Order: sequence, then C-alpha cells, then structure tokens
Amino acid sequence: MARTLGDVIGSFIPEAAAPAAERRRICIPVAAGDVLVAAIAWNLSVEISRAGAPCTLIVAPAEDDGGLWPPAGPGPLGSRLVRGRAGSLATSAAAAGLPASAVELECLSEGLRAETRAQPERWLLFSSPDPTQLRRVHDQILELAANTPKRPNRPDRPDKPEQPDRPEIRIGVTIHGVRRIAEAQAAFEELAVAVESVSDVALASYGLLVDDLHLYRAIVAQRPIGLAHPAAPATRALADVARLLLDDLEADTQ
Amino acid sequence: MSDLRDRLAHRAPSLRVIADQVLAETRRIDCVAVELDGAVVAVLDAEPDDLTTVARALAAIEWLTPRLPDWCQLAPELGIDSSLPVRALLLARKFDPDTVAAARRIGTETLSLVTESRAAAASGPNATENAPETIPTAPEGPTALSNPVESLPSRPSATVAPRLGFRTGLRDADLGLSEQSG
Repeated sequence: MARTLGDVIGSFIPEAAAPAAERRRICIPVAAGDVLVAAIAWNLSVEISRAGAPCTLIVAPAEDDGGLWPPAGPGPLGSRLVRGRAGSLATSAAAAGLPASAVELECLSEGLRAETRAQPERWLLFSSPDPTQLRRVHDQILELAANTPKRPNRPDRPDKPEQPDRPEIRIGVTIHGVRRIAEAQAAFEELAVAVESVSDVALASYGLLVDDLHLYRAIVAQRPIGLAHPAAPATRALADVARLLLDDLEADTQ
Repeated sequence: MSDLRDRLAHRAPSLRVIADQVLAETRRIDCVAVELDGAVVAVLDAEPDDLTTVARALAAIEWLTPRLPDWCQLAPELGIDSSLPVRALLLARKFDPDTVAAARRIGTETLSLVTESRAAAASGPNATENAPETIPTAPEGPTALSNPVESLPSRPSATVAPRLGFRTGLRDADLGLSEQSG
C-alpha cells in the first residue's frame, strides 16, 4: 500500500507524533546580556535531550539579544534552538515547520515577560548563593506570582484559610556557582523560606550547578559542556538538574 | 589580602579578582575584579560605620574608568570589557543606616553593599553554614529592589524549613568537592 512520508514519519521521529498539547514547557527568565544564564539554559537543553527528551530552546529574535545565543537550528543530541517573539513563542516551533519537542525551554527577557499575558505554569530560575542574586531572584519570584492568575485553594491546605487563592504557577530554582552541596542547600532553603513567608509559592528545588566558568566557556565555544567534557563535575551537575526537571514533568502527566 | 579574596569568593562568586591593593590617586583599591560579562568592579573592605568608604569607592570608579582601554591593550587576557561601566562593591559585616542611605542615593548600578555574617567575616568561606545576619532593609517585595543592601529578609526562625526541600542526586564527591574545599 502506498504511503506518504507523513504517514510514517512518526515511526522515525517519535517527537513529531506528539501533539502540541503534550509539549512540556518551562520558562527561564534571562536578563539582557546575561551570558551565564544563557549558557546554563543552552547547556541544559542539550542535557535534557541527552536524557531522552528532545528539547527545543526558544529564544528572542537575533536582533534582540546581542549575539547571546548560538545560531538557530538543530543542535547536538536532538536539541534545537528556535527564535521567536512573545505571543508566538509557544507555537514558534510549529510555525517554523519543526516537529514538536518533548520539552520546550523558553528564555524570556524582561520585556518579553511583560508582553506575555498568558503566563506559563512552570518557571525555572537560577541564582548563586550571593545575597545580591538571591534577593533579585526573590523579588522576581514574587513578581511572577503576583502576575499569575489565581486558582482555588487546595482542600489539603486547610491551614491557609486566610489565603483562599493560590497562584497557578510552579517555580523551581537551581543554585549555581557553589563550592559545596551544603552551600547550595542553605541558599535554596533561605530563599524558599523567605518567599514562603510573604507568598503562597512553594519553591521546587532543581539541584545545583558548579563551575560556572566552564559553562560560560561552553557557550562561547558553542560546544556544549556535555560533549566537550562529558565526565566533568559541571556536566554531572547539569545532568542531575535535567533529571529532576524531567521527573517532575513526567509526574505531571501521570 | 587573601582573606578579602576568600570572603569575596564566598559572597560574590561570579567575580574574578585580577589585582589586589591597586594604588589609585592617593589611596589603594583593596581588590579589582571582573564580572563574567567583563565589567570591572572595585571591591573595598568596609567598616560598618565608615562612610568615607563610599567616597573611596566613587573615587576608585573615577580612577579606573579612563584606564580600562589601556588595560585592555596591555592585558587582553584579563577579559575586561571597557565599554561597560565600572562599579564598586563594599563588603562588610553590616552597614549603618547612613551608609545604606548614601548607597541608595548613588544607585545599585554603581555601588553595591554586600553583607556577610560575623563568623564568615572572621573565618572566610569555611563559615558558609552561617546564615547572613539580619540586615535592616527596605519593605519586602518588589520595592525592595531599590535597596542597595542586597540581602534576603531573614528567616523567621532557625527551625523553619521550606515546604519543598532541597533536592539533588549528587554528593560532594561526585562533583569533585569535599567538606574541606572551599
């Protein structure tokens, strides 16, 4: 029986068969010129792909980022980089004629966040243990929560009767630039408690990253750290973050 | 001055120190460091009530700024981006209200105040278990961004834990880290 390519492509590219609704989307705020977070996001997209979930990294149009990102197109291990504007970000992969990916990481600048009225449910933020950054991320989390639609309180939280609505948002934080795991844990817990003391957001922990300079050099060289240094501590830490993210995304779909 | 380098590595790990005790007009800059993006930062070890350190920081910025293009020619490997504005960072156990007010007026894009716990100041990076000391800050929430003392609201109690705990599948040994490192 004659068949078209469209009939069989799902057998060769499994992610092409995934309907758009099944894409799992995580947004990452990236400040203008923040090379480090850009490097982390790009390397993370490769590690997520390596873990078995082809990942598309969606970033601002080239003219807006000052050369922050590698060129658009297919990347290593099934990853992909796509450029798009707010409002079209969720569909930019489809608009570009590309197959849907198992996971989409959207990197949103301050301006793009303001434009995006349909707030995504899941955010991933990065902070070092430095008080300056922790404070900045703390305020960023409160801003995201304040701009997110509310949903009824969970019946399993009767201890919060004074807060009938909960932000419909899930925010995770990865601590980078640490020297010890205990340092990352202390920084995360300090941030999470500070956020919980003034909001109903329960921060999710997505591990830690070490060796920022290594990650930074990876994006400069446009070679992911997972390929350049597969056994490096920075790669192990990145793989652990990818695994934590995928575990949570998987749990959401069950 | 290695003590200041260690404390800086603990409180501002993204900074890379390129010079200690740099002689400016008449006084020395404790450390000159470079951010990941190439911006130069003058770092001064401050006393809580020493308002003159704020003036020293501004003088350091003024002295450094015109010299950066020359430094870039002489030592391009330093990774300095001379087009970015120089800023200053004061490191102290705490800052008195006058210093905070002065820094707020100057603006965080020019001057940052970074606090450290008493034990961290005394012991350097090995004292990371100590939570940052409580600092008088601006009201909580987004308005606190204008506060030059970059510190989180203190934890309500040492026994309070977040609803969702810290997660990692790794150990220090997996990352080439150890309890003694740091």
